Amino acid sequence: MEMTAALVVLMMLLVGAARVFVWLNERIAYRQYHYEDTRVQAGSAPFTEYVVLSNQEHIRGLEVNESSNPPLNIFR
Amino acid sequence: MKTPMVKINKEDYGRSGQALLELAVFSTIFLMILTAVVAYGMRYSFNQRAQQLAFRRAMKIASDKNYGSGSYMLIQERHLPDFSDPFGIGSSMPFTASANIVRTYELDAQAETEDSLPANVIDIEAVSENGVMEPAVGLVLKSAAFRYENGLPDTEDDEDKPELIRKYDLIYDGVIDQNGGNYKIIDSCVAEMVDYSACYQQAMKIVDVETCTRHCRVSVTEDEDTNCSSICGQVMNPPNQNNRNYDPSRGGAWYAANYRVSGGVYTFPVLDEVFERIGSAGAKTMGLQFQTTVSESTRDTSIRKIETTQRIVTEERADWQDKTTRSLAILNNLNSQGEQINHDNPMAFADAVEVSDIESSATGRIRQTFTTPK
Repeated sequence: MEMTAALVVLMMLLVGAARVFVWLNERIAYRQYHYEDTRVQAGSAPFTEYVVLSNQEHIRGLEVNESSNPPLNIFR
Repeated sequence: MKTPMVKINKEDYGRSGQALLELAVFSTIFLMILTAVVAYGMRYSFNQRAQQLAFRRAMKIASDKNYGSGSYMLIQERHLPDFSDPFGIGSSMPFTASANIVRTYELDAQAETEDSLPANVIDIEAVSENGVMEPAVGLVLKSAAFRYENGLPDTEDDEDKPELIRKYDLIYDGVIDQNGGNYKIIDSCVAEMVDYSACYQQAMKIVDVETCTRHCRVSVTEDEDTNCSSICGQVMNPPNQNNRNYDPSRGGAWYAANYRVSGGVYTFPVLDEVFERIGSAGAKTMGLQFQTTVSESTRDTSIRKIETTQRIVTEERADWQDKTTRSLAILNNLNSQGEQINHDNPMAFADAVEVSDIESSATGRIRQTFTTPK
């Protein structure tokens, strides 16, 4: 009985860990997809004088928005 | 009345708890594996994020007409939770990414003003509450600056340059004629971020004709108008192959001053002194000195359990902070126009080396309340 319970808990942990790992890997893939998708847009900035190096807001490039990526759901 | 006796054999001891014991041992190992799996996933994810941000930001800098190129470094202090840790707090870890971008049509561009001098932008960001990344430190360090030399031959036009000026062009890449024999030189060895190996090589080209000739033969094509031996045989403002002293009235490569040659090996005491002033053993470049990083962690945690007749309430509270202190070394010897401040004694340039501490703190908090009805 105890052994069965232990195995069930371990299997749950295993599945949970695998889900988290897969979700993290999916995020890498999604991020890369959005990054590639915005390459042309990011490289088409106007070639003028407008960046003040000490201003951190000025040097922010086109950043990938990750809000639309699927959230973590280990019961999926 | 006698109490009935129960006889327990030796082999019966502990048998009923065997599975529990196995679970305790095995699950500990399993939790470690689980932690490693999640931590690996997070590390790769954070690393990719930092690299993408660094490249896009370098590209943004290079998109400015003033620069035409961008050199950017990003350090993100991220939090990695650890299941084996009480409260699962874990630790923070730096994720570093850098990118250098040059617009191809700006490859031959020369800096003319302080704004257009090449610079390294270094940003340090640290995780705050709820995983939000906050800017902690922003640095802009010039990797080249202006210095002046005079008493050189005047150049009438670019096509008929004297060989001495061609030697300057060969060594510095950027020499601007200011008329009257005065020249403005873009020198990477007098900037805020100086690299020992690059400056040693540059000093060698100035004082050793053979090193200069080798460099010339891989950089330019020799023809009837270009003779590397002849160009490199020219005598620049001292220090040079004939004179080891620095002459402040004419300007010159002070970092090559007072050089010594022993068994064919050149030693540049001024350049050595500049890097000894950094203080950390073996420092060969300026900027952030990663070998002297100091981390200090503070953890403040508590659990409060309230038990009433109806329920049990458990309140968990954790505040943590990982403070990282890095050493920053720069050669602080430029005026507001990006020009070198001159000194009569070459060793006085070493006094301009400044070492300071750069601090960044990754922080976080956990507030959880669990209520269990009885």
